[in-house]
Amino acid sequence: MTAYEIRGVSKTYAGRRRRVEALDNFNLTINEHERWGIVGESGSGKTTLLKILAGLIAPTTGTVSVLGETLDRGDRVAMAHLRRSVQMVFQDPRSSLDPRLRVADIISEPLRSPLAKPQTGPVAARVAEVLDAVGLPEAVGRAYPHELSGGQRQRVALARALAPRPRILLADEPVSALDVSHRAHVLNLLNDLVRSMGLTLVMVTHDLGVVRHTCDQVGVLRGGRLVESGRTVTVMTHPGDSYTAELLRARPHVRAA
Amino acid sequence: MKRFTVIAGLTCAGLVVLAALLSLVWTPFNPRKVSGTRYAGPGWPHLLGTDSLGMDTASRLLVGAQTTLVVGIIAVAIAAVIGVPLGIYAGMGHRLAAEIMERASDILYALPALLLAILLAAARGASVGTATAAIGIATIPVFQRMARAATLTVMSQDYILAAEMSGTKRWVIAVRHVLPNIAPLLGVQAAASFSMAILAEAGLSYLGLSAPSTTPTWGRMLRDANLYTAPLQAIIPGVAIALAVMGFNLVGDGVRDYLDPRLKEVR
Repeated sequence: MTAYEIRGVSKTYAGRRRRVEALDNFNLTINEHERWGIVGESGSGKTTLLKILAGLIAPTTGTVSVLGETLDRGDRVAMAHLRRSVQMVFQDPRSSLDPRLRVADIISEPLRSPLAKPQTGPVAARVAEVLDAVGLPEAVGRAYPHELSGGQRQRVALARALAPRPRILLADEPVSALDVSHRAHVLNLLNDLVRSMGLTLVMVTHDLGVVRHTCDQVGVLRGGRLVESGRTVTVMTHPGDSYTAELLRARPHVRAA
Repeated sequence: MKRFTVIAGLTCAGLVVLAALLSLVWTPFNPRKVSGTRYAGPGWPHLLGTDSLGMDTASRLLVGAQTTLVVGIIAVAIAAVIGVPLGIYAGMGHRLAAEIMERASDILYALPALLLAILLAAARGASVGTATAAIGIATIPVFQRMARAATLTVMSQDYILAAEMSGTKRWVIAVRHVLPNIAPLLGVQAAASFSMAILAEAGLSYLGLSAPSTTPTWGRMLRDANLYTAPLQAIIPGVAIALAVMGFNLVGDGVRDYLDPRLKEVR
């Protein structure tokens, strides 16, 4: 089944003095269980794309279908369908976790929503289950976010996203705000969970290494346009676009002294 | 240092509360009746002397604390109960509502508590009630604007997007995420507004726009004092007002720290 069908999507932000075209005629088909990485430099439209896919903002033109249902922010039924199927992990866990709620309350929020799928067991049991899935002890549920390390916070954010059993996971640079020691842990965890749960992943990042590690498909964004897409291995080894080649060359390399 | 200021604030505010509570059950003399000679100096039985009519100053000071607290609490409650929900509503992305409220706030700002008190006193007669209502109404835009600005900051956080993605209803987001996160600021504002209300009531009493002469209030005591004949009768209520204002301001800082778990981490 097709997870996302994105056709002719453009997004323009109109200010008083200037207009910014964040996305320009973006087309992409994402099948279920695929793991997509969308790469591009800052300002290329990555986050805008993710927010459109999450139903948080509407495209200026074009259509997006999620699991066969056309996305329409004005249509309650379509939005309920989206909310039940799609969850997101944000870039900075300091901003994505409410500092005034305990971890258990943060994770259980999507489970208590009126749109939540019926639970097979009590909410507390599901919270403990997802905490365990992300490698955190149940006691963390009683902590406040500021009492956790950056890596632990991002695990909590991941647990919240997984709690309502979504079919699609969106990730906005999920490890870029973490220090190096936590990056690999969180990335491996994300990788394992997405594979074991059979989720569709759409991750935006500027880090090609992260894409190579996690995604089987990659799309390259430049100035709001998709300049290249395909299997990660192919695009990384034989880039078909000069911009992709430029991005690959710009990766930091360690040279022997 | 922080601890010292909180203790100092609690002591000052506590003295005001204690005086108000004590006056409910006991005062040295009847604060509304002449009990001695005019302008008697401090001593026995009039510990703080007597005023221009010969009424006991200590008794009037104790009862005046009641008025001070009641005016402060009710005025801040009026302002917060109306201003905070309006500010949160405007800050949660209702642009037209925000625009209308901004203009309404501008109009209210243009009408200071003094003018409102004069208007209300003309319509309903000068009383503690009209003064309190005037101070409360004049403070609504302060809470509305602060709540809106703080809500805008909270709404820019990713946890609001996460809540939206979970299908959480807007009013639940307002109660669960926005209100607790802006509460420390509102607590500080409430304490500051409480102090301002005390000052405003004293000012209105001084101008004869609040309590009648039979009701003991600190502002009224200032008005009735003669600075040249018996300066102590002006200094005593003046110091009481200053201590109350300072005390509640310092308590406000303490409330902010207590309500914010992130600041507990620092302590």
